[in-house]
Amino acid sequence: MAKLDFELPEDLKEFRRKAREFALKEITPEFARKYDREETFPEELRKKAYASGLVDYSNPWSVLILQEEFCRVDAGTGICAVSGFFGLETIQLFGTEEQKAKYVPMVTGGKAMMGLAVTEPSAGSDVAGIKTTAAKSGDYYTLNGAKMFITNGQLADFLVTLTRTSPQTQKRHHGLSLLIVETGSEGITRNKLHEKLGVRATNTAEIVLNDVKVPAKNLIGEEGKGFYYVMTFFDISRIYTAIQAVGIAQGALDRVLDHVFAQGMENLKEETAMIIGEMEMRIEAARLLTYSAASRLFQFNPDPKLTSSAKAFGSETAVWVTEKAMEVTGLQGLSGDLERFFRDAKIMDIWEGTSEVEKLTIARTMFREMMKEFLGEKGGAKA
Amino acid sequence: MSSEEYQLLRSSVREFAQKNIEGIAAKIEREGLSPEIIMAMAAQGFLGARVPSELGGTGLDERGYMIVLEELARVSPSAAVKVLITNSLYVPLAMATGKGKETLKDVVSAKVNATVAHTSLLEGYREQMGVTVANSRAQGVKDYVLNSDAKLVILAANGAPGTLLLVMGGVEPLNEQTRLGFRGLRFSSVKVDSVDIEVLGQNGVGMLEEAVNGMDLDVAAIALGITAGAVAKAIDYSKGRTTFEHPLKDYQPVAFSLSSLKAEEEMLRTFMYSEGLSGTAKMMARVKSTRLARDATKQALQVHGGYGYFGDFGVEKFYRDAMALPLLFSRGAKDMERLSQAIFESKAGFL
Repeated sequence: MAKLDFELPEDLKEFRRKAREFALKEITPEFARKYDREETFPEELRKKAYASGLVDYSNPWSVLILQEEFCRVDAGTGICAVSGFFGLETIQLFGTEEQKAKYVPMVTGGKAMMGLAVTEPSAGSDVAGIKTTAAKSGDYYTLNGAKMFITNGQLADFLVTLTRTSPQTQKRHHGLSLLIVETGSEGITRNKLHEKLGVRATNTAEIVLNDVKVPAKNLIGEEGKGFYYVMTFFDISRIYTAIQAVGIAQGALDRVLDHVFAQGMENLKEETAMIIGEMEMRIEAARLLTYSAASRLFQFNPDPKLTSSAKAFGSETAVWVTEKAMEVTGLQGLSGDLERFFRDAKIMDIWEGTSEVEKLTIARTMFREMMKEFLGEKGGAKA
Repeated sequence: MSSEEYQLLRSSVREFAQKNIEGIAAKIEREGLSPEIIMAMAAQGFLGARVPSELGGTGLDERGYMIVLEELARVSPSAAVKVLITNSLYVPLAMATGKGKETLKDVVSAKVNATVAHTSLLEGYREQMGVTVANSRAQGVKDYVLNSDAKLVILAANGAPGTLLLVMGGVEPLNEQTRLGFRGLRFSSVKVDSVDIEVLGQNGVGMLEEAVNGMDLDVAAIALGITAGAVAKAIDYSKGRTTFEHPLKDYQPVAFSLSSLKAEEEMLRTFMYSEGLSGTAKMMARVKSTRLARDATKQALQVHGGYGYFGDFGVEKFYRDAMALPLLFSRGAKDMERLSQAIFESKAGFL
């Protein structure tokens, strides 16, 4: 009989225990509050996480579980601890052997940090709307433009940057290319952006590129294919966002349970009990959806509709659960850790593609599949 | 007041808010309401909105007062809450005695800052110590006090139902606490050690309860202002911002969601400002308006995308304050029990 086993293997269960233990020990409520208040990056936590051996990019399941358990304790500092590799898959999948040898080990070893510079002041979800240009002359590209809301932006040693390498035509997503830009290059200005609602420990910056010279060998893959590389990357990174959201939601539920327990279970009314039941229901559904999407991805068979479902559903779950958690805990939540969870959760709905974009992606993927099937049935036509 | 007078009041409060508050709304979130802005609000008569004119106030009726709260909340919910604490909590409770009344003149002119420690009634309140009175001396610590750098504090002393005290000196705010919303006001525990006290009544908890329950429309008005401010920002933004080569407003999910929120906002406003609202109708207004504020601010932030997540765009504060408002000024299940009792005409919804 076919078997669908939704249990994690023992070694990952053990890994989860270790990840949680580390997070609880290193990310105390005071620690999380401090970095949230001061809007600073917890570099020492990042170093400790790498030194502990928990950050292992050769095992994607462990990276997933690690993010879940860190965000369950605190999303802001938790994401900082493991997000130094943000954008790495673009190099791993599409980079040259030379690029892989040069850039991958320093990031996976935690010695360097990187970031992905796609979003611009006037183009977020609309990736093809970017305006940063890269003009090729001889062995160099010259970059001009501005990037916005770049995670790790100010701290990254290099940024995988989406640029326009040929003029925009009817097909807007053509003519875009990915380049590795070392942040020490001349002509780069990085401004840290302040006063985020949540995930305030994470570093977010605006990057201004003014005649920045980048060696032509830093081109990732083929010129003109940048849009597709970025979309492929989003199919990966959205799974990490989904699991971050699950972690936040679970962390909020943990605190709600502590709260009702401290208040005395005999005082628990049905309305609250039902909310708690629904929290658990939604979180488990979001987790399974995410694991399912991850399982496909990790077997190199990603399903964009599953990935986008996990990301949108996870985000909405985090927003819903943290809001209900505030209602249930009242003043405790308002002035305790839960208010941070409530603020952190909302970014999940926005970054890596808004929930609206995810839902459209789900629908469009299904339409494409239907069309393929339809054309296939007609016979002969190649989809 | 005639409808023209209400209209005039609304445009003058809006003009004041736009001119004096809107430009510094982000600064208020960072640094708090400055003494200058509080003085300016006092000069407009906002701090004494509900105080009878013979006691130095503006003597506005209920609807006029709602207009003030709504229009201030539209640009800075913290500014509205400052007015709320004074008029909806401090004033009715201080009116209980002659000595209490005497304090009003200085409170409405912002010469003296006053607050009420009402949060002991709310969901999630856990007190460490409380305040006890012995030999006409009040001592102790009151937790979760908003506007806590006040010199005058009304609080319920320990015990059931606890004496309602007006403490007129010897009050010290302790370390500022983090909290989700209303960052324009100080929020902390206060330490009390005072012989300068006035007993406002014996049933402290009951009096506080009455004042908090009496705020139905006032809280609803602030929530409505938050909704209005957030929705207006989102509508503006969606006209100017282009994505996938079209203005945001051209897309159905954006236009429909904002239009629908706007419809709810207008319907609620018509309902709330209609004449002769029953007590039940006021409770309904509180429940519906605080809910709408949360839905509206969430969608307004979402429409702003990444920009909405940053303080600069002035929409994230609405999202925080819309959630903080019911936590700090409503009683959650207790309010719903009150409404259910009115609807079912007997005790309902308590299991």
